[in-house]
Amino acid sequence: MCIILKRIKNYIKNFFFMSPILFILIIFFILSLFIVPSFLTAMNIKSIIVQASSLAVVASGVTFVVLNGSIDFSCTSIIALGSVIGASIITSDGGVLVGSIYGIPLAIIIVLLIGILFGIINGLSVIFLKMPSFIATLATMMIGSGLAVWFSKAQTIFNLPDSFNYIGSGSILHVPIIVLISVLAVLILDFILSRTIIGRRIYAVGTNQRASYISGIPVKKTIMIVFIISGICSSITCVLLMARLQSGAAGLGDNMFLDIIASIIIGGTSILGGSGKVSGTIVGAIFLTMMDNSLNMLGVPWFVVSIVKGVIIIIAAIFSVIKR
Amino acid sequence: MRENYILKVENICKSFSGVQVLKNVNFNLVKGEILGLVGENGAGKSTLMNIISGILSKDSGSIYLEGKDFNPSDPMMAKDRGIGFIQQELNLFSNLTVAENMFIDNFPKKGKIVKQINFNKIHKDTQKYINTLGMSFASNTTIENLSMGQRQMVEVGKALFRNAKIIIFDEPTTSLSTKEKDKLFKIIKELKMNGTTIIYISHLLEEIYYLCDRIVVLRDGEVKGKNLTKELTKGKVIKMMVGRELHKLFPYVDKSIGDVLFEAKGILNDKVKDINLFMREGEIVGLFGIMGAGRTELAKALFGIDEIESGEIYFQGREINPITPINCIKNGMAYITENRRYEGLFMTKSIKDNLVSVYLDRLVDNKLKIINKKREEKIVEKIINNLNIITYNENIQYAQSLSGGNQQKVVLGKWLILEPKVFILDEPTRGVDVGAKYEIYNIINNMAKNKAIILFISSEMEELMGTCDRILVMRQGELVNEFGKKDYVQEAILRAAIGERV
Repeated sequence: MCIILKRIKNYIKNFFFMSPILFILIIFFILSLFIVPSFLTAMNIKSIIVQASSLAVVASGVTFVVLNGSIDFSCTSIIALGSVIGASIITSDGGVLVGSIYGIPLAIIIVLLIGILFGIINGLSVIFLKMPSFIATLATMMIGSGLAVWFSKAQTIFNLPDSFNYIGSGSILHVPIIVLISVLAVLILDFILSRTIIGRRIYAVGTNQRASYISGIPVKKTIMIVFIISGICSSITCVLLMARLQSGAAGLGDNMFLDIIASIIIGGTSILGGSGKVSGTIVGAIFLTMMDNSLNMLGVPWFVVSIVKGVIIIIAAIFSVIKR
Repeated sequence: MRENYILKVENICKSFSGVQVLKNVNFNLVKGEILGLVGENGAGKSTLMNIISGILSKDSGSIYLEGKDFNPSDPMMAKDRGIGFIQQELNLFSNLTVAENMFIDNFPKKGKIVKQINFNKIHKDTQKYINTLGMSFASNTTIENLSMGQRQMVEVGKALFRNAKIIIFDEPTTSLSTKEKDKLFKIIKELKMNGTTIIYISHLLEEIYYLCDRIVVLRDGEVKGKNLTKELTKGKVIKMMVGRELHKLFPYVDKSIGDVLFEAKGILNDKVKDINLFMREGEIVGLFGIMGAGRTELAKALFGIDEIESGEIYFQGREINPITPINCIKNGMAYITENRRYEGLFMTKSIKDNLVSVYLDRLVDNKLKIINKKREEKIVEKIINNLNIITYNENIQYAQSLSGGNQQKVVLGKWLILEPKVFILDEPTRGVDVGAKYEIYNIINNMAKNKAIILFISSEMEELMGTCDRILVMRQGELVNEFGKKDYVQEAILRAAIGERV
């Protein structure tokens, strides 16, 4: 027991040292307790966590790509395209598999496959066509969101089955299912990055691709894995958002991209690749969501929120320079 | 006579982080002559020229240019006083045109209110210089569309345009074709006729003897001879270049050499020409050559880093196919790159991460590919102790904050964990202090004692003679000679490397 406590203490200490943003998060939380009326209600805290968790999953996935020194713009269009295709399968407004017991699992699998497909296309473009990821994923983003509008005819698809919506609204032991799924996902991601050989390779390739190649690290395979992981995470977030909003729409995830990148940067991941952690990104996601929430409740207009976010990113950047 | 010296260099000293590179260098430059500057790699030629052209500052000593004190604090000042330096790596902007490059530091402007570059003028002037140099390209050609020889001419033009009185050429022919070389020599002779003074640096004595009136020989940062070319035989020059005693710098180990285990046949790509070589169990094979001879390129071809057009590699009777780093490592090969910074280390990662980077596959003992941290810790600790890597904490300290010697030990260590059976070392002691060098020789000897095969690439002939059982010599991408331990004669090896039959 004592050893476990010591370990936890050490972990917290390390985390503090590694991620000063956690410190800011805590200060912000305490300030919000006093300033924002009805901030600390079960309802509000739950809504923050639920919102943050779907952001955290996709942002953690993109973190893998950023660690590689690349970027993935296509994440939001995977969410959009996945949601309209997934919803169209199970909606009671003429869904292909409405009422079938295979409907929901199949819809989820298809959404995941869309993410994997986009990941593979991104990976192939970067590896074999030697495209900068900036361009490759910008292209797939535009294609994806275009396809989403085309497929849905710009209509929101409602009337998803209740059992599907339960993912978004249900709880197990008072913990929302969305949060359970997200926590499971980010734990796996963190585990991959910190404990497995794939994680080490991702860091190595992100630090120095040439040295990695000479060291016998399968560089191409590693880059491919990174983009596929990012795609899968976008798909998971897509399912969570669909279930929470009980609909699919081409506009889903539209304005999420900046929050995804902001979470990663605030979380201390170097945009040049090679250093950063999933845990940092999660803190970043929670921080951004909490800030949105409390400033909203204070009635601060959205453009001021945007300014505050910008300032926070600059502060995070300064911290990462100091750390070095 | 005194007024005839355009440049007098007196007692120049220079050291880098405690290592003295130039020791009381004295020489004079007669107006209108071509002076050949020769010396081995690292003899201090480039450092000396960098000081004269204002790129580096000297520690002590004085320089007089046309009788007046000359103390350039930056390259611009040296240029203004008439010194043109054409470096081995050309300083041209490949995305700009010839004319823009010529005038890059001093664009003529026109217009009273809005100052703009006078493109008409720069193109007209540039074309004039191009024509004077007997070249046929247009002034608005971008540099990337020019051949290496033409680029060199642009540099010459740049120097001439600034009214250079002294033009320094640092190994100008390394990337030129024979035809371009002839053209360059013609231009250099013409420059001389017009009263320009030339300093010509080269490894190739043939060129020196063809062009130069006088020769200055540098060795270990000291002037070892300055004579008229006609007073010196090539043999004498070579002797002056290398004439050192072999110090007791090299550890000895008792080992036995076995059968041929490694063979490369017909390795061919655009850098190396049809290389055949074999190495025996427990043998340390040296690979010598001047810069640009293709040693590193051969190593990269053998390890599959650079693609080859044809060729086969056999180890222990089995063919290594395909030749890629991953497959070479699988077959027990290892390669230490000459470029520690960019190819050898993950500079912003910890020593531990660096050490295990090639060993990851063997740290997992399950399907989920989870790293066994205990084993990782143990192996890292072992290698740090074995190689005496000095660090305050291998888990935290970044590779970039280590000294050169310790960095090199980390690179060695990362491969040693794999216990390679064929080890290619490319300049493993470059930028490493004497103490660490000795340790590295010891590591190499011990590997050979444990029956590993070692291919040791170095520009320091001494260390090859001190550690290797056999020395191969490369020249212009070809293996040209081989010396057994009994036949080690510095002059002979250097002669083979620079292609002289004296």
